Amino acid sequence: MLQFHSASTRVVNTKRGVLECLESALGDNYNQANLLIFHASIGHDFQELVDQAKELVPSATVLAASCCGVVGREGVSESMKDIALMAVTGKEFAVAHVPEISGKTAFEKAQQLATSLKSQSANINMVYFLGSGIDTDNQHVIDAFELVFGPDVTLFGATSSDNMKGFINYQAVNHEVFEHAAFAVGFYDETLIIDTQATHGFNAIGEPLIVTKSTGHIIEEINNKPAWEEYLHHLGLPENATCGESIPIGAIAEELSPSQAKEYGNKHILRVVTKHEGSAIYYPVSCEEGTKIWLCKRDEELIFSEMEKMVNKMMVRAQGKKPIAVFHADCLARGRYLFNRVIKEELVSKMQFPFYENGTCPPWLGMYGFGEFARINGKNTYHNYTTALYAIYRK
Amino acid sequence: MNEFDTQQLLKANRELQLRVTRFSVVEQELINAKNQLDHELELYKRLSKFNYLSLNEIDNTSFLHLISETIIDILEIETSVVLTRKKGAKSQLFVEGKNAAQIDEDEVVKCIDNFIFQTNELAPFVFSNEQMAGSKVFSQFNQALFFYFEDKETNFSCVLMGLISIENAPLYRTLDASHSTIFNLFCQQVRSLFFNRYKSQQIEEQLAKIHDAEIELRKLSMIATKSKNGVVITDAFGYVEWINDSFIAMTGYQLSDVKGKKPKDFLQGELTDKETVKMIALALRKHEGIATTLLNYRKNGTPYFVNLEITPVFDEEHQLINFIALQRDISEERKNQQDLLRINSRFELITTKSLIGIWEYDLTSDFVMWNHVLIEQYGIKNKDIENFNSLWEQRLHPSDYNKAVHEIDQLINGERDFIEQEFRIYRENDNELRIVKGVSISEKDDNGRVIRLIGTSIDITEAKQSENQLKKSEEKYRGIIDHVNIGLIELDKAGEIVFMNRKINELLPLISPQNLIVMNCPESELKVKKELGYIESYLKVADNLYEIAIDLTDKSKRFFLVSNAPNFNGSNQLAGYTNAFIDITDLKNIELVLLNKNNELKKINSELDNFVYSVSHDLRSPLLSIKGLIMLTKMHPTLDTEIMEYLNMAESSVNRLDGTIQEILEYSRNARLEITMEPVQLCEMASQIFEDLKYAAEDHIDFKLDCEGDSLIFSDKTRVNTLLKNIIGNAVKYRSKHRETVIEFSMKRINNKVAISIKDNGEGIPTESLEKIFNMFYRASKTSEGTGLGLYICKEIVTKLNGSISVDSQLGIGTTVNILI
Repeated sequence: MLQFHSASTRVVNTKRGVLECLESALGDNYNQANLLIFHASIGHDFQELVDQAKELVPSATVLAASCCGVVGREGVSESMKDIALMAVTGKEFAVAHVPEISGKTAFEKAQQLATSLKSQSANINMVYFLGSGIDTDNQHVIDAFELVFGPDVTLFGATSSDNMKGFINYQAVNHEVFEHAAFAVGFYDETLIIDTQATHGFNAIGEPLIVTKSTGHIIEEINNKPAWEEYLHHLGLPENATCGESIPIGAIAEELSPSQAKEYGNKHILRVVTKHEGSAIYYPVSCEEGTKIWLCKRDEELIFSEMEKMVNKMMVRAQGKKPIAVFHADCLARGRYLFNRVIKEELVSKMQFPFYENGTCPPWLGMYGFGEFARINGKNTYHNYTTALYAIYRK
Repeated sequence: MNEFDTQQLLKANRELQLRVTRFSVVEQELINAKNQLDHELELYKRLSKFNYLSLNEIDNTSFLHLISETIIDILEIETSVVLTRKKGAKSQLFVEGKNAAQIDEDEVVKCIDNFIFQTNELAPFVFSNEQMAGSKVFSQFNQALFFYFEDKETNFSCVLMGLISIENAPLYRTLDASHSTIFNLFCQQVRSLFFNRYKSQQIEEQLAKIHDAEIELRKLSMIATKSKNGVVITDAFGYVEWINDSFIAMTGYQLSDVKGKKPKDFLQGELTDKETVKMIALALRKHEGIATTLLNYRKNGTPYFVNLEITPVFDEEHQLINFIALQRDISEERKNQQDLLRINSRFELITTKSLIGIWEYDLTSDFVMWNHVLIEQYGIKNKDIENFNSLWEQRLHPSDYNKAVHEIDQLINGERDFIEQEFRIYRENDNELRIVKGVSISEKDDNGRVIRLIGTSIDITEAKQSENQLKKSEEKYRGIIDHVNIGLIELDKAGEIVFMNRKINELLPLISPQNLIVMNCPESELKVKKELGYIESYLKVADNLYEIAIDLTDKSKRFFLVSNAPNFNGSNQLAGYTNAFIDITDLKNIELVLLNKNNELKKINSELDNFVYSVSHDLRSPLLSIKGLIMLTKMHPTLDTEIMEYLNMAESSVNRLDGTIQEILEYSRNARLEITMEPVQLCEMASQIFEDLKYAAEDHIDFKLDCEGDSLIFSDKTRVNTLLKNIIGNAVKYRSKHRETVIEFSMKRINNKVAISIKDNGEGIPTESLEKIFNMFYRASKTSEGTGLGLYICKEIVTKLNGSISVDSQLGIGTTVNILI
């Protein structure tokens, strides 16, 4: 039976940070952990991080992903030296990784991951996926997993990031550190179920822009004009602006079906641009020509109210049960680049508090990354600019 | 709405949208600025946290770790370097952050030295990409913030560095003014902290020194107070300022009695040596120390001897401030000296009685003293002689002269501290040659010069004579031992060879004695030393007598019977061992031949047994056929009497032959088959045999069974059955024709065995035949139709069952067979 334990810390020295997390999560028994999932901000040396974790808990499978900040049961931290850990004891999990993934190879690589997981256990009922947040077609990732596991298996997780520059992101498995890789953890503890939901709180504004030329997830033209330049023009940014500068204000909205919109609380789902090559925009999912896209205006009040609505809905679905662990993916643009520290902490507090049991926050592992996976209307979906929560309950 | 209006509206809408998004840009810039401020505030908070933590960090290494981590934390860069140096101490280098483990520390120090030349002290310096590229060790970084400070007073210097590579750094940005500002602030704080720590360390060291001095003072005070010696402290003029408890105990004077007085005024008395007092006064006047012995008087007037040591005490300007006098009461020692003198006189008495000569030679005065025992030893006539040395030399045997004198010279020259001598002298009075043995020692002064020789001398002439006689006896017996044909080695307790006889020496060319020696054999435990494989195996070990096989160097193998016996000295303590070796190679070879012969014989016997069995078995088949044919022929109705008679004779012969073959088979079975032990009801078996034989005879036979208790035994059922059948069968076969036959069977248990007795009143056996009846094919009775194998088989069976059989018989009376199995 799987048990979850979490901790987070902000320590300059990577090795000490790892040790602190382990001790804080599991006390003196940290060497009993079977799976260690680390989220760490980009200031840490990932090789040092996983080496230290393997040295301290040689029998555990160690996974790590880079991010822009972490959220743990201790709260939120967005610095260059954050580490958060979810330590798992128990054997009912399978791990797979691919050393490289991109928009063009997303389906094939995700299928490899899914096949590998399924070969380890046919009873997997939820998959935690963490892949590169730069140049990946995440709809293809979902399609590949559903092809192997069927649509009922919940895919949750995030795409990892740097500190919103879109230069690099790391994934590490045991002693190996990769750039632009992906790993997945399939859980097959039959006593566990998962509930996921995501929310953003942005409003699409004005008339839509039309994707007039695209190949897969690469948009070459918008409104018959070079895509990147047109995008910057509409954002009002100079031509030499970077992705890092465009992300906080550059959310792109796509229209949802009415039923999806109803559950989502918004007519639109959002997309982020984390990479461009010349005029070509690397979109996080496939984008057909003729797709209507909108620019957005964020609404702080809406962000708070939608967050409350989402958590309330989850509480209703839980029927009084409290989760044994919560995974959490948040868009880095919803962190310090959106709110000041006080508001951000208030937002995190509002999302965490309803899950508390007897005044204690459940084990919590969250990251500020590039993207989030969560189900809408029972379908696995990829999101950007959202807060996505994955609450795991014991049946 | 016309098309123009629509176009205008769309244009206005787009402009509005642009305005909204651009407002977002402005709004984001504001947020960014706010975030930047917030972030900088956070960095300053980290700086403030450093201040707090550093004040609590006592350990220097942890403090330097904290500095290196804080550089990374406040600049949000990849790597930091901290180098500290202090004259007379090892420099300390800390590299924290990414790639820290890969950086060559020696190269870092070299590069830092180069950077120091290019910078100004007390201001942060930014090393550019180009400057960094020039340094081998830091080439992976694009920029460095560098701060160097040193303190001439303390000879302490420190370098603080933050390193950033634009492509990989966490913030992906170059160093700017904000970095320099916070780094400068941090470095100034570090500098200030270092100086404060240094000052604090200095204060701590001084406090420690003061603390040590206080402890030292307390110790000295404690020593003076608790010392067993009396301590008197006077001022520069000799007036008492302080006395310790021991002085009070020694003299009876309290401080109040003596304070302000001069010691000489209350300690010295009538018998105090005036010259010594003058000597002390002179030394004090000269402000010099002095050590002497003096007779003082206690408060109660009793005298006591003291060893007095007076030391002047000077201040830093060499002005006399005190005298400290240490007084050690030596009254007891004086008393001991007197006791010693008394002991000496007793010692003299003992030496006289035990005839030990004593001499003493005082080199400083050239005085020689001999005791009267020594004078007697040398037969000196003139008791007033003074020059004993010359006399000693005159009396020495010329052959021993040089050695004896040289050894004494060595003592005098200090080359040796102790000598043991044995030499011959001619006694003066009768010129008889005597042998003396002595021990001499030297006594040295504090400078190591020999001042006195003391020696003893014992006349050992008679003892020597006895020893020589003993030696001769020993040689005689050794001669005997040497010529016996047994190798003998005597070892001491450590396993060293003390003696080997000739027989062993004969073996020496063939074998190393060390490898032959079987050593260390305390009574309770036998250990055998095996080296280089010479001793191949220990064939038999029992009661310190064992056989060993040894490969000799000439490649032959010899066997020895070794006996190992401990030797004890007069105090019944283990002194060593004697090993005796008897060469038993020839015996062993004969034994081997015998063994082989025996095995061969066994094999032949076995083959013979098998042959006998096969032949007997094969002979019986045609015999039984003949028997059958005779029976068939006899049944023919027309057979005349003569032929019937012939047939009867033939049948009788065939029956006899069959009986013989059956007995041979019995014999063969007994020889071949292993014993099978099983329960046997002996009386039941005897009864059954009686029953079978009862009808064999035409006349009546009276069988009597006397079984005492349970007749169940464990034995080989087949063999016991054959045995009983034979014996009882004989009793039936050789019954008397003149009286009614009575056969008695009885059994009783004796220890673990069964005694069986079968008694008959038959013909009996002649006395001359009794010895032979168990021989093969021997027939004691002429009337017998037997084969002469029956009793032989019985004997064989009983032997196989580890038993015995005997026959008691009287001709014409009867026979008793006694069996014990």
